[in-house]
Amino acid sequence: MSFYFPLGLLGLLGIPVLILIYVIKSKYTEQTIASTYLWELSEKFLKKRKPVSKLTGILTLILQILAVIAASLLIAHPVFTMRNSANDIYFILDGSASMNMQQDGSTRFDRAKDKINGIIDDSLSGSSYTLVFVRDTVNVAFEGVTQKQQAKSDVAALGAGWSATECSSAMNVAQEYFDNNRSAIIYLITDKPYETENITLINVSSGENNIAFNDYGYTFEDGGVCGTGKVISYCEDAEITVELSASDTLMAPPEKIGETTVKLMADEPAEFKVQTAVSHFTKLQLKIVAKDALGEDNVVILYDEAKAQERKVLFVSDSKDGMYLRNAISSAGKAQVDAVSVEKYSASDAAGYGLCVFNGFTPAELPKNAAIWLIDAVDGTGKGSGIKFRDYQTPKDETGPASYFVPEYTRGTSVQEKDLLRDIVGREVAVRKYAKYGIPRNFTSVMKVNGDTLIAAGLNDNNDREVVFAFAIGDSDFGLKDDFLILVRNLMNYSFPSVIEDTVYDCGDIMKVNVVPGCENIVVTSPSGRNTTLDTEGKAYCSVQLNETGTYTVTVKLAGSDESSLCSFACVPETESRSQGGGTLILSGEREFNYSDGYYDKLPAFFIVICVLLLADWGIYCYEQYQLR
Amino acid sequence: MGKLVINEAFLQRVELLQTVLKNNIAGLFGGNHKSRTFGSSCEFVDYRNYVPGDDITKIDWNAYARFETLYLKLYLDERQLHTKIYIDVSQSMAFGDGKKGEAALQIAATLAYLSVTELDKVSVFTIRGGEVTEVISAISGRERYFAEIGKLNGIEFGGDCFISEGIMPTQVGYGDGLSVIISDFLTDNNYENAIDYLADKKRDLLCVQVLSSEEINPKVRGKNIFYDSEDAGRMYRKNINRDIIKAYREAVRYVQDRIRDYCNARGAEYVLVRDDKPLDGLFFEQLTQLGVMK
Repeated sequence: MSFYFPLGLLGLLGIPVLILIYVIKSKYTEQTIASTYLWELSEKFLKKRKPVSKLTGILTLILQILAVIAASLLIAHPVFTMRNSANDIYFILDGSASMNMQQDGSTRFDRAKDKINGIIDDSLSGSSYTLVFVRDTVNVAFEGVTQKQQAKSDVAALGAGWSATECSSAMNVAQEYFDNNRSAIIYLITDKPYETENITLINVSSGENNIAFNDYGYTFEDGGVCGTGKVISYCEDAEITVELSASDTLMAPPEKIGETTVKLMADEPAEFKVQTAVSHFTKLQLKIVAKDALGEDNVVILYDEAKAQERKVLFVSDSKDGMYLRNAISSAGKAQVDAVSVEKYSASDAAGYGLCVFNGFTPAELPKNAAIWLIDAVDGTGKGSGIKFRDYQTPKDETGPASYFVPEYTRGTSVQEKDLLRDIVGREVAVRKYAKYGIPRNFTSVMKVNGDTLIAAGLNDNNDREVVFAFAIGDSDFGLKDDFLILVRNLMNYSFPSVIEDTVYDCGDIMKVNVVPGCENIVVTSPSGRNTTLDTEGKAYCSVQLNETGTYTVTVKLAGSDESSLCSFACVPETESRSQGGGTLILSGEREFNYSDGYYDKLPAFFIVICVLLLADWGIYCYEQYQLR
Repeated sequence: MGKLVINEAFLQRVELLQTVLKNNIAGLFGGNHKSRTFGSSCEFVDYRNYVPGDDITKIDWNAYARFETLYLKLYLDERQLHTKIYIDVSQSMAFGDGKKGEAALQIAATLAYLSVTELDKVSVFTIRGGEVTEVISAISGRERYFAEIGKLNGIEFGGDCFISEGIMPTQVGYGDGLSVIISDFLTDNNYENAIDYLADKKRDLLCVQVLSSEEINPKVRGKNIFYDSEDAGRMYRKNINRDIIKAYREAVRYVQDRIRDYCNARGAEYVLVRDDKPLDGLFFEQLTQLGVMK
């Protein structure tokens, strides 16, 4: 037993006071009567009382003391933990974006909280409450709370998210609870039409109509930007207006540049097209002007992809095969390539280039704040490259199949491996000679032969992105293969990472923020204004989960330069706009209907005991004083 | 002490009553009460043979003509009684609102009136402590009654009362009438000897116990200390509750039964009078039912 308000026990000090009052009040009334003879004689007829009945003289005092004790205990609020007297109640609360749909000023999530509060209020005192909150992730918001008020205040603190979530992800947690207690009462509060077993479904959807973009984009037609896409009204026919707004800077609010009216049939996507004469923009906003249940999915912001980072490459080579590589970089890598001979190269030449490609040559010291490609690095391998040249590997035979090596692509499961080998067909490559390097562990191997890495990418000692080719392009037929161009493209994308690769995400998606060369720090600002400084140390990229709907701003501080900002927009996922989902949620196991597994608060029983004692006290008082029979 | 008020209308009604005596009357003078002995009243009782020396005026000559034998006609004798009324004038009789004392005096006055209307003599005594004081001395006739009865107003209540010690040393007469003891009998002092003594003297005896309504059915409850009005040293300290009230009522019954049984065993009569009830009930119901009056 414990006390919520131990100070309430100070009320026990009332007992000595009560005794004092009792002693003072126990005064006999004196009076003279005609004769005491009859009273004295009555003693003979007084039946011998039982020892217990002798206590009746102080019974009033005893009862009052008991009442004071009970009242003190009531104030102190003792908590008894006695099993088998109440229920264990579990709530699985859907916190997905669709729960933000509102009608008559209250959202589905508000209604869900009201339902939970109602269940808590109606439950037996002493029941325990646990809430599993399915939002961006599955979290146990509170567990085993036995105080109704506490549980309700915990519920009040919850808010729905903006990502698409499936309540099925909470089934593991729910199953564990159910396995521990087969008579637990489990509620699923959601807006999606699940079929459940051993779970009581509470659907808070009330058929609100929502209108949202089904598809969106822009094109340039007749020299002006043209917003295109599809909109859909999920429940009712509607006539809506799609506005197109634009601004030239990221931070400026967009101004309307065009609009169109679209007639919608219920649950059928309708195309729209907003033609404008505006040819330049940085930010383009598409907006549905209509009243519906969820306003957040009526806006989409698109950013000009043409304003991606410029790619400047310094190509240092004296080799004949340099032409293949240079053309590939220029075409597949969409880069501006400046070539310089080995003889004319100086360290200062590298300034201003995002990528320095050293083909068959390795400078004594690698440039900093630029990506590096080392092709067939032989002399030393350059200070800061992180790799060590060991020796050349040549085939056993001069002719025939054994006269060349056949390397294989290293297809791993990491994001970087997948990015580097994206779209690679995997055609056979023949290599006549390659250099055996000691490759740092943090490098990702792209191509290998006989356990030796032929192509690898990673961060060098200067923390710059580095790609290493262990063979000269001319010593292989790789330059003739289509995979060569694809790989060059991938490696260029790796070497010139845009800070963010996409500008439009669904809420709940993970935004990949690339750590560009020379980056000092990256700060991501959420739509609600929360700043998150990413830990870029030793990383090629960072991941940020987009849990809010709206514009995320990524601010990059490069060494020696000002901050630059990029924006991405997180939309409400289409499944949430549609309020789709559902399915079957089953908790396996035989249910036991024994609603008596919680904790029971004996307070009401105490109260009843006190009432009985007080009534008994008054009863005895009346009995003695007025002889009510 | 309230003044004794004579209700003449009530007295006129009481005149209709007649005292019934159980014992043979042994009064000296002719009166209104028939004696068991033959006398010279008008009420014929029997005949007996004439014996020389008898009063020849009482010979029934008609019977002689018929039977040629001399018979004497016998008539009941009628004697005058001496009613003696003893009033307990202790403090307990006057305590509270004094109604017990008033009732006692009214009973005494009424009985005295009844006696004088029956041509009897009446004496009224008070018993205070162990001493009997004659307040009204052997009066007879209504004129004397009305002249003397006012003396009852002069009676002061107070002190204790020892009935036996008071009555027994006095001259109570022998078989010459009715003795009445009016008291609350709320004492553990001896009163039985007085009853025995009066019974032994062949006097009819009526014990009238006067109790107040509070004494019969007390209303008091809770913690109380009672002091005895006659003896300040006596006190009773108790939390009066249902059990004690129950025992008290049993004690009241016990006291009544004890007096009644004692009286009945000695040919005396006992009657309980509540001070809050009118005297009609006493004379026209209780005493007539007991056969003391008719």
